[in-house]
Amino acid sequence: MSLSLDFKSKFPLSPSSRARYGTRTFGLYSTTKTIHDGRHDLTVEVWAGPADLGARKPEAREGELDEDRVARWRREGARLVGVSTQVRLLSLSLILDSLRHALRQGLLTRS
Amino acid sequence: MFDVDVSPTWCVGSVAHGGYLLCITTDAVLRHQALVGSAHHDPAHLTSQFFSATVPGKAQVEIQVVSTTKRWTRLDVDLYQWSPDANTSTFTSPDNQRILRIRSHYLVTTLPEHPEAGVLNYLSRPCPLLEHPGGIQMSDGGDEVPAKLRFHQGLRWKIVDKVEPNDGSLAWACWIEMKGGEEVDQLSSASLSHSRSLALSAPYRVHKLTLYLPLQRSCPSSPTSPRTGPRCCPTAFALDPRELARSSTAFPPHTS
Repeated sequence: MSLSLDFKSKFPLSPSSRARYGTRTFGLYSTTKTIHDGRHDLTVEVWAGPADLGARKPEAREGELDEDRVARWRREGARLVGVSTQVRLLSLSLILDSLRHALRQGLLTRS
Repeated sequence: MFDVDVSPTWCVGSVAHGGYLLCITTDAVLRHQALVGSAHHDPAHLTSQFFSATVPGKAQVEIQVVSTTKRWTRLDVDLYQWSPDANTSTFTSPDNQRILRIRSHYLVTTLPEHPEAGVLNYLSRPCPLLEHPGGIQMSDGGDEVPAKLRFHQGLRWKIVDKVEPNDGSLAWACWIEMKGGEEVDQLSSASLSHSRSLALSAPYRVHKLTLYLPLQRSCPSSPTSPRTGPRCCPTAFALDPRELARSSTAFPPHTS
């Protein structure tokens, strides 16, 4: 397995902006781009978010949109702090394990 | 070289979590940079090859300076373990072999502060997670964290709607919160790097998710013992205070 990690800026974020972000919460956004011949590539972004999970702030204005009709918090209240890419070869045992898990979860059915 | 103690808590099943191991190597890098008085203290990029599974117990991190320029320091960082007994003290026995587990290359520099909101830059695209974390109902405890993650009781998460890629890729997103009161932005910048070296794998449509979580916390006492310098501390965040206590007594305190 091979992994790379890119740090986008100094961390922690500057003290002046600290109050705007959740202190115990971070977000992950993962995309799988290639699955070929047993090879699995994926990218994971790590985001600082505008609040901790379930900690609604009255001033958050969650539904407010900007001029591009994008929720304002998605531009002003979140920061991309790191990006990881990973390549791994999927072994047969891992694939079988995944299939068993999917069957248990009802994501796949036996034909 | 730094002697390190790989915690049994930060494991997936019986082997150490990859992100946690990167916490260890990055922590060693930062300690190394401080020890040698380098002007570069921010890891900017790392690449790692994982050759074989690292198990809980003792390990060694070796750092070699490849080059140093005005802006960058390049380091080769290797993590070794004795096998089959990682905690062996019979180093000359032919029954024990020193195995290279991880080989990493680090670029270390001085990173800029993150741009403020409203400044147009390549980092200013909207967050791809579509649900505000503060508005998520967590009274049900959130989505299930797989129990095979030995640290699963230390966090909770909620899978949320996300921006769907338009190139056929599969996407997955969640907000994760540490339950033990750890503040992500209070971790050292060293540990930080790791805090987010979280990687999820979602192979195929089966959505079997493997988490690479490297949350590391500055240890009250440091369990990395360098052969040639002060102790480094990679044991990290312990979910169970009893384990933390055990870890703390396993090595002498950090003195640097």
